[in-house]
Amino acid sequence: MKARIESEVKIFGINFFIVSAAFTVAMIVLSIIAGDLLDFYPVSFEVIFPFFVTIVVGEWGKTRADSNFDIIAAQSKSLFKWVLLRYIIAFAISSLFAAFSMAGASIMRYEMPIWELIVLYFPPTFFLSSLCALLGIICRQEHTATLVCGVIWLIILLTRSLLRFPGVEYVYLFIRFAGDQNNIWLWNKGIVTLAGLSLWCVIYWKCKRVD
Amino acid sequence: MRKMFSVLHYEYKMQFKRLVTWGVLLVATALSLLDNFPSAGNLARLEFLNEPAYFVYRIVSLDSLVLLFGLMFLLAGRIPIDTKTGMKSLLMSSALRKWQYVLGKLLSGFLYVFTIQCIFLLLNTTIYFIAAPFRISLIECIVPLVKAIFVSLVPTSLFVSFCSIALPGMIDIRLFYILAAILFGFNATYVGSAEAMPFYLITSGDLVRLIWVHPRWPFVDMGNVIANGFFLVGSSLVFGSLLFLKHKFWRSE
Repeated sequence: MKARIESEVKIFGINFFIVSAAFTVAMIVLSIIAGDLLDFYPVSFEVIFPFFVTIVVGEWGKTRADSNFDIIAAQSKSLFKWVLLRYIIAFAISSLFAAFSMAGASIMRYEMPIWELIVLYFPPTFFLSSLCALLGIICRQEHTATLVCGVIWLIILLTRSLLRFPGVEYVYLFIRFAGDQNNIWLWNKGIVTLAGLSLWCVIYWKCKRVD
Repeated sequence: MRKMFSVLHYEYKMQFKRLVTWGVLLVATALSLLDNFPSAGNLARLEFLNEPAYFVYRIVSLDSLVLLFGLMFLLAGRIPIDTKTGMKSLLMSSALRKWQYVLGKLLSGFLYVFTIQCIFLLLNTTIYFIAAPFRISLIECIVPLVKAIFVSLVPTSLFVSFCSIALPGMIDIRLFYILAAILFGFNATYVGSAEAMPFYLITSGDLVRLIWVHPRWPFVDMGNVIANGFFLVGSSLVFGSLLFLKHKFWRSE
């Protein structure tokens, strides 16, 4: 297992670590210079970082768009295990950078405890990146998964006004960023996490079909 | 010049043949119609939706952002894919010169984004014109459309196309996606206000106030308008010219 993880990290390449480190530093610098007008924590860890992880999963952790996909699909015992391992490594390493960013930002401007930041960060990140992993299994063309997830991310950002409809606040991905007027954000996060898990059921089913 | 036009023609035609282009256009149009279709509900929700100028303003400042974001992704791979497939090496070994290749790519990208944006705007406005449950004269639609083409479509097309083509030619395409997502995200989170908008916004900067202004705050700060226009056009030209300045980008001539 250790060898496989090392091999996956090698495939990611040095650019991934340089970009992630630069992004993490940029977020910490932003936490210093952002001022009080910007609701920094929801913007950074509920909106921006989840999309960063999605880009990581879609671009560095690509599956069907990988040029060796056909060989891997034909030779590996379980395609799902390979997809899951690649996803977990991409998600875990980029989340580690997010954790560094959270710690750095908390030192610079303490506004909420780390556990709350993690709850704020995990569900939208898990959902968007899982969606990207699913699209990565479906689309052979490079960048398509990231493109679709990016458009969805932007549409969700643009449609905050839909929160006026009853029930939408329970499934809106960036509830704390949108204000959370009825204080239901923990319910929202639970539902979003469940939706992310259901996406993994679909990925499992897709992989079984290829197997 | 003829070779530059060959690159331009090929790139332009090829982009329109991609199914994803039409998919992005379809999604953006469906979204903008959900938001702005002159139905009873939308007319009650949006105070000024009965004004064609407001409709055009809303389309270019808000709904075109999704379209531009999608087009940005589609254009970003134009130079990296040539490098990856070996096409760039083949082109470099031919008589094609650097300026012909770069200018062909940049101009085709600009024309592609501009054409798609025009189709998007015209399609939306035509549907609005036909479906509106009140009388609108043709001139009421044409004037804001012409204004929108010059003050919004040209600078935003230039910005998105030049940045999306030039920057991934020099930096990692994934870093470009992250930077672009942050800029587009900022643009998406800003809501219109009577205050001056930040100059670095793509579609909702002060330039679009030349199309329509809120009747309660009819003042347009020309300084902010110029700053926004200068940012869009200036940064596109700077990023575009960086490719010409990068010596390692092409064979030595």
